[in-house]
Amino acid sequence: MITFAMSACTNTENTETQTNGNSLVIKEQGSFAVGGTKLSAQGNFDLANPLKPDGQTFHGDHAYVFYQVPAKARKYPLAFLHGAGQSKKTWETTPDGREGFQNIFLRKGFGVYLLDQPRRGEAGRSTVEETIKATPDEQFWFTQFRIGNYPDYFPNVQFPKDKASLEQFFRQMTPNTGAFDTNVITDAVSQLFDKIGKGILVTHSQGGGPGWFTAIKNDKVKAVVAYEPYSSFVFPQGELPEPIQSTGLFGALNGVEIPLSDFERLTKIPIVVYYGDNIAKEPTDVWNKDHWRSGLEMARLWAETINKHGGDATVVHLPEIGINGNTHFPFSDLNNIEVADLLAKWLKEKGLD
Amino acid sequence: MNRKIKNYVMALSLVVLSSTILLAQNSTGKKPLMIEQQGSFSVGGTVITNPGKYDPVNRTPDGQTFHGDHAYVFYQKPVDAKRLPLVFWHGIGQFSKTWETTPDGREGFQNIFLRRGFGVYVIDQPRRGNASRSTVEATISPTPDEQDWFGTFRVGVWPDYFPGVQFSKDPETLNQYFRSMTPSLGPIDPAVVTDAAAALAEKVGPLILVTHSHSGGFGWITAIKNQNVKAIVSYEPGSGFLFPEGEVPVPVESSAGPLVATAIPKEEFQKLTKIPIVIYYGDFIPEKYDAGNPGADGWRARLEMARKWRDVVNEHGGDVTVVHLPEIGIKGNTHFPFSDLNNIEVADVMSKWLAEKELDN
Repeated sequence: MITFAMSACTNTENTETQTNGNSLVIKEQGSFAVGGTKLSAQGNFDLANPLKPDGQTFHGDHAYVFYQVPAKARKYPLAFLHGAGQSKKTWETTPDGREGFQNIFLRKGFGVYLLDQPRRGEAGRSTVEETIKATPDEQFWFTQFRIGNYPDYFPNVQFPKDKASLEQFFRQMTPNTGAFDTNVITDAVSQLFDKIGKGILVTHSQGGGPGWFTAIKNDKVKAVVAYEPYSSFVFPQGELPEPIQSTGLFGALNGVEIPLSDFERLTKIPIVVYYGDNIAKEPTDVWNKDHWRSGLEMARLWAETINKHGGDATVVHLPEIGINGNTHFPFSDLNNIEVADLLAKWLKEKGLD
Repeated sequence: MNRKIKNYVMALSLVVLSSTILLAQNSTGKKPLMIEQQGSFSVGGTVITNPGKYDPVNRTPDGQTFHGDHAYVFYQKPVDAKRLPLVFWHGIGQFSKTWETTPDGREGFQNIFLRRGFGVYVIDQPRRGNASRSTVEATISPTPDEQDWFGTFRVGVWPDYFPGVQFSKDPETLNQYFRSMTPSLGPIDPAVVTDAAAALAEKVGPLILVTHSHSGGFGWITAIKNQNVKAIVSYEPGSGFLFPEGEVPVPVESSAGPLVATAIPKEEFQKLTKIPIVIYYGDFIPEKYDAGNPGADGWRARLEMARKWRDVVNEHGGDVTVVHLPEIGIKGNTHFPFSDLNNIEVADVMSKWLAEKELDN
C-alpha cells in the first residue's frame, strides 16, 4: 500500500519537474500606459457634431509597457528600452525564431518590462504632428546595424543568412509617429520606475541617451546596461572631450555637457556598456565601421570620466573578451545566450541579482 | 484495486494537489500562468523595391527595399493547450492592448483565456502599433477626439457615465482607456489587413478568430480567404456585413449615417455558412432613431444589420447567433464587453458557446 502511494507521488513530481523545466511560470503579466501629457481644445463638446475637436481632449506621449513577472522573481526587474526605429520587439523572438532577452531573462528569474517609447509603435499617440513616408532604406540599415556591407554579410557575423530571418529583421522596424524627444521619453521611463520601484534599465542604441537621463532623474534606477549607445554621452561642464571625427552617418560625434551635480548621479550606480564586432580600430572610409568606432571611443572617454569621479562604469568590446561576430543587436544575435550569460555574470558581480 | 487503497491514494493526491495550488497562488490570489511557448513575429505584408543600384557611399533610396504592411503578432501557448488557439483582432484606433490588462488594471481576455487553456495570439493589424511600417504615406495629427470616443464606445454621454455602466469611474481608468488608442499609419485597407490575417491563419493552422468592432467585417473576409478559420466570435461588429449578390438589404438609416451592406458572390458567401459564428453586443444601444447622439445611434443600425445578416446566413444553412447581452440579463456593457467590469461573465458566455460548438477540446 505504502509503496504504491509513494510511486504515485514520484510520478507526479516527475511530470511537474519536466513541465517546469521547459515552461515559463508567470506569476503576473499585463500592460499599461505610463507618463505622457494631455491636450485640451477650447470650447464645448457638441454631441451632435462629435468630429469637431472643440472641448475635446487628446492623451499622448505616454510609453506603452508590457510586463511579465515570473514566480520567485529576483529582487530587481529589468526594464528594456529599444533603439531608433525599433519597438519592444527588439527583446522578443529573434529574427530567426529563437528566444530573445524577454524569455531568456524570465527564465533567469527576472521580472521584465518591455517599453515602446512615446511616439513609437504601440505608444503611437503623439502630441506633435508627423508625416511618415515609405522610403526604401533597408540596405542602409543592414549596413548601419553591422550585419555586413550590403549585399555582403561580414564573414564572422552572428546573424542568420537565410532570407526569412532578414525579412523578419526588416519587418521589426516601426517609425516615429512624432519627433524623437529625449525629455518626453525620459519623463515616461522615469515614471515607469516610480510605478514599479527599484529596477535595472537595459537600453539599446538611441535608447542610451534617455537611459542616462532617466538614471539622473530617478534614483530607483539601480543600474544601467547599455548595448551599443552612440549618442548623448554626458560629461560634466568643463570636461567635454574634443569631438571625435568620423566618416559615419552623422559625422563628428560630440559629447553633451551637463551640470556636475547631475553627472555625479551617474557615479552612484554600476553601469556596463557593450559593443559588438566589426567596429574599426582606426579611422576608415568604411562608414558603418567608422560610425561605431566614434561611438566606442566616446564611450571609453565617458567611462573614464565617470570612474574618475568615483563611479563604476565598464565598457566591454565583445571581441576583446573573445566574443566575435556580433552586430548592433548582440541580444538577438545567434550567440545571444552567451551575451545574456555575460550580462547575468555582471549583474551577479554587482550584487544586482 | 482494493477500495481502501484507492480511497487512500485519492485522498493523498488531493492533499498533494491542493498544497501545490496553495503554494502556487500569488498575492493577487491567482495561480501562475504556465506558458509552454511565447514569442512574436511579423506575418504577411509586401515589399517595395526601388529601381537602381544601392550606393553604399551615398546611401540614397536607389536600389533599396522597404518591407511593410505586415501584421505584428505576440503569442502564448499554455501547457496542455486546447486544440484550437484564439486569434484576437482589435478594432478601430486600437491594437493588441484591447485584449490585455483592462483600463482599471484587471486581467483581460489574453490572460483569462490562457487560464482556460487556449493558445492566444494578439495581433496589431498592418499599419497599426508595432506593425506601423506602412507602404503608403501618412500624416498623423494630434486632433482632440476623446469625448467623441467616450460616446461612440458607449461609456456614457460626455461628461456623464451611463448609470450602471460596467466601467470604473476612477480617473486613472479613463486615462488608461484613452491611452490604449494608437493611430493608423496609412488608410485601413481591407485587402491589406485581411491578406495579413489570412497569412497568419496559414501559418498557425486551424484557429478561432475573435474580432472587435471594425475587424468584424475583416473577420468574415478572412474566413472566406482561409479555411483554417474554424469559428468566429465577433464583439460589436460595426461594418462590412457581407450578403450574397441579389440579397443585399436596404441600408439601415442612422444619425451616424446609413449603414450599407456589401454584396459578394454567392460561392464566397457560402463559405460563411460552414463555420459557427457568434456575435455579441453590449448595452446602451438606442431602441429608436436618435438624432441627437449619432455615436450611440450607429450601434442601433449595426445591431439591426447583424440580425438581418444572421437570418440570411442561416437561411443558407449557416450557424450564426446574435446575442444582445441585456436580453440575456447581462447589463451595462460598453463597446468593449471583454474589458468591462463584468468581463469574467462575458468570457463565461463565450466559453459556454465554444463548448456548445465543441471548439474547446
